[in-house]
Amino acid sequence: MQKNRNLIEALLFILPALAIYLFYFILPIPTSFYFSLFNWDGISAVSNFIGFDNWVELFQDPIVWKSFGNNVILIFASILIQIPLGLMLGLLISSKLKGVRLYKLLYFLPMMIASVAIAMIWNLVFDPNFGLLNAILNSVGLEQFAMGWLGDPKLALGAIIGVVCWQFTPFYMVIFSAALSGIPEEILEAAYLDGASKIQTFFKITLPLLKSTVQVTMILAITGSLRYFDLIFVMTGGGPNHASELLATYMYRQAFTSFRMGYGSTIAVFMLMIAFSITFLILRNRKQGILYGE
Amino acid sequence: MSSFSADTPHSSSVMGRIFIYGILLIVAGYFLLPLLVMVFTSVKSMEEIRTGSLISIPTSITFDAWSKAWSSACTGVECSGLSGYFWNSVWLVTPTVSISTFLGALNGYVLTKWNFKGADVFFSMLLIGCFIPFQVILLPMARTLGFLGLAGTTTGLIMVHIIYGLAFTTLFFRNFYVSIPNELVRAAQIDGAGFFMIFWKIMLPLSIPIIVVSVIWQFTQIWNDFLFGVVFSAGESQPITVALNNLVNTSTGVKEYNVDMAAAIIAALPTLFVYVVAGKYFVRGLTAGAVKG
Repeated sequence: MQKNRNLIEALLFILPALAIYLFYFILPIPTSFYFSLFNWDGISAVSNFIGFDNWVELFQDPIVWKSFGNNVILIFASILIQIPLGLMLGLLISSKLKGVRLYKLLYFLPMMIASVAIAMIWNLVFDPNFGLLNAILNSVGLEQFAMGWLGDPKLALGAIIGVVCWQFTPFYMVIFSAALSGIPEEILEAAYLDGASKIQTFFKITLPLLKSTVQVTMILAITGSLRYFDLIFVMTGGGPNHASELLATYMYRQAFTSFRMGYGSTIAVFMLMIAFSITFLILRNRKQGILYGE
Repeated sequence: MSSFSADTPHSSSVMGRIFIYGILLIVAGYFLLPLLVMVFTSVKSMEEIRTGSLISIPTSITFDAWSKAWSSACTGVECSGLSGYFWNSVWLVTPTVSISTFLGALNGYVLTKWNFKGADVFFSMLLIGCFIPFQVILLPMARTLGFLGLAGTTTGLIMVHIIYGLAFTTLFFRNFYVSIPNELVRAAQIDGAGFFMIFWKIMLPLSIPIIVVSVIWQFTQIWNDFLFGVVFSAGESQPITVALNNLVNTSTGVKEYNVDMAAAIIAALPTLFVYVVAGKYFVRGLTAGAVKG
């Protein structure tokens, strides 16, 4: 009886949270889809039903595909640069080298700073006239490589990826250093006694033990890259000529600058569909690790 | 600990050490030079910025740019600096962080210790909340806030941040509570403790490491948020990140890099402060609960 009474109490407490959650989280998804069927400026009523016109436009919009391609590039850059670099730094700061504590503190700094502030700092680094990067290149005799980084359509996205890595690698470093501290030292010691080299130990023991952590960081990198917005919005606004455009920046400008809320909703739902399919693919084979704590 | 370090006597080689410190140094340059530029530029005069190089050490330190950024720089038509927006963010962060952390703890407790039918479905839906592109909720949310009369207000923004922070805080606490033995709860029940009693007296005191994680996570997420701020707030109620962006984009005459950088530092100080004070416990808490593998 006592148990039942408590269970009811528990349910009473979680039901409001569940209701709020459903209302604000799940409901917006069909609502956004509903909006995508209208030509709507956000001011007048949602009444101008146009069927799937927005969707047809989306699939024919070259900027949507350009943005999607940039999102994919960003995903690969995250997986191929941030995660390995984060793992490497995680290993380094988990070691007992002298001075490592200081590095730990310093490397962590970028992930605490707001994207808007980061964008301002790096705009100064990339400034074509007196930016830090060009100043360094000039001072070491590589003048020919000094460029207008963010103004050049060929370089803008690459330059921004350098900043994104700067911002997020520390985060992966922290996750990996936390996961590494969970590996019992005896295992590594045993491998050493069996004559395994450090490289062997890493690839045969440490890395397999980190498998679920790697998967988690990959999900975080992919979903994070798909919805990435603020840094690019502030640094380049998606320019020059959509060279650094992402789905999120394009959606924002369609909805809130051009007041094409219907089309903006269409892009948003498109982003959601991509995020869902990728997350589903990764999670299908795995119900453990960080997400389920088992 | 690590398998890739030169920390054991039998494996240390001078070359290995040089190599590792070399990497640490290069990476330190990548991570720290931009921050150094930010700090140096903020304490230089415009005269010195124009004539010198960005990385040169300031010849004379002045905090004029700081005080201008704080109290008189223009953010759009308004020219009263960042101070008002700074306090907006403080009033935004305080209730959102505490409420979403508390509700996350409660949710995690119910989901793990009061396993009800459908708990797993509920949890799976929460997980979606961690990965959803927020763009999809912007327009429906804007409309809802409009209906509630909360469009462009701090209250509206607080509500949005609590709701969308809940997914992460619940995840943190659920994964932490999974490893706390159920026997502990059962024993307390036998002793006659009720739902809240067990939560207050048993679960919460055990939760300190994960509370720290949740608070730091939520604090940095909400303080640094730009998307919700720029969409759901207006004018006077804007958070500091939005004001910072307005400050950069307001060009009256010559661009004052020192004021821009001072403003960026002011916006970044609270999260850096939180990290310096509690960062150690953040990593420790992550180890204890949030990151399992």
